[in-house]
Amino acid sequence: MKNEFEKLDRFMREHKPALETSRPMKAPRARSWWLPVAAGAALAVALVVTVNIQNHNAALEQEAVAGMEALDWDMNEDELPADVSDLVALVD
Amino acid sequence: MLISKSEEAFHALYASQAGGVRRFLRGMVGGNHQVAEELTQDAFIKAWKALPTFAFKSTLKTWVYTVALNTARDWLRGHGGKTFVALDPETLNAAETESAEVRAVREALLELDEETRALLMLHYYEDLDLQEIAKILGIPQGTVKSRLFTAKGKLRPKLVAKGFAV
Repeated sequence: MKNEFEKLDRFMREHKPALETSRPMKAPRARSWWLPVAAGAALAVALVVTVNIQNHNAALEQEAVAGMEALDWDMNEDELPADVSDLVALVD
Repeated sequence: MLISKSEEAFHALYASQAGGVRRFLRGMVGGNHQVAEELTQDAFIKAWKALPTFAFKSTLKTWVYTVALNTARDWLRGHGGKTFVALDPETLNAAETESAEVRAVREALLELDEETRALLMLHYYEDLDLQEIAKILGIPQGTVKSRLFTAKGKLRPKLVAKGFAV
């Protein structure tokens, strides 16, 4: 059977635009499941450490206050208690 | 190799198909190089992301062209179906180096509706067979054959009007 578009087919194939070059592209990286998990874990660790440091400082302060109260000593007004004075002298 | 989603696999797919896909997309959007470049990158990113859903019911080539065609359709829909030739340096440069016949064919194709244009470009430019075109357009092979006949009938007078004896 005669192809009635024979001339058109030949013309179209003879005048095909050249293949075009595209700029190279990087493969999009799949989002890793571990990245947000790792970021979350790091944040949690940082929070725990911060809270621990705050608690530790508060505990030390409380201990110091309790110690001063136990000695019944006001650091702004009173001389060092005798036993502490002895200790300081010993260290000096 | 491709299912492992390695970068090498992506580059192999891109290297083998990007030229044809870009030519196809440029024809679809009116010869604009910048738009064609953006759409090519866009199509390959979509193809890459959708790779896990690839069911091996077609070849990777036809699958990539399917994604490219949908990308072009989306773009055309976003621009009210209008194609335009931007006056960017690359497009102007290409217009100078392209033969008058190739330019005339491009213009004639742009006068057709987008589905007819896509069909003719897949057939003439990308040398895809009926089975491959059927996969890309999602229609039976027989329908491709009859639509191709109709499409050629629409294209011929456009070229004749431009002075070509086809």
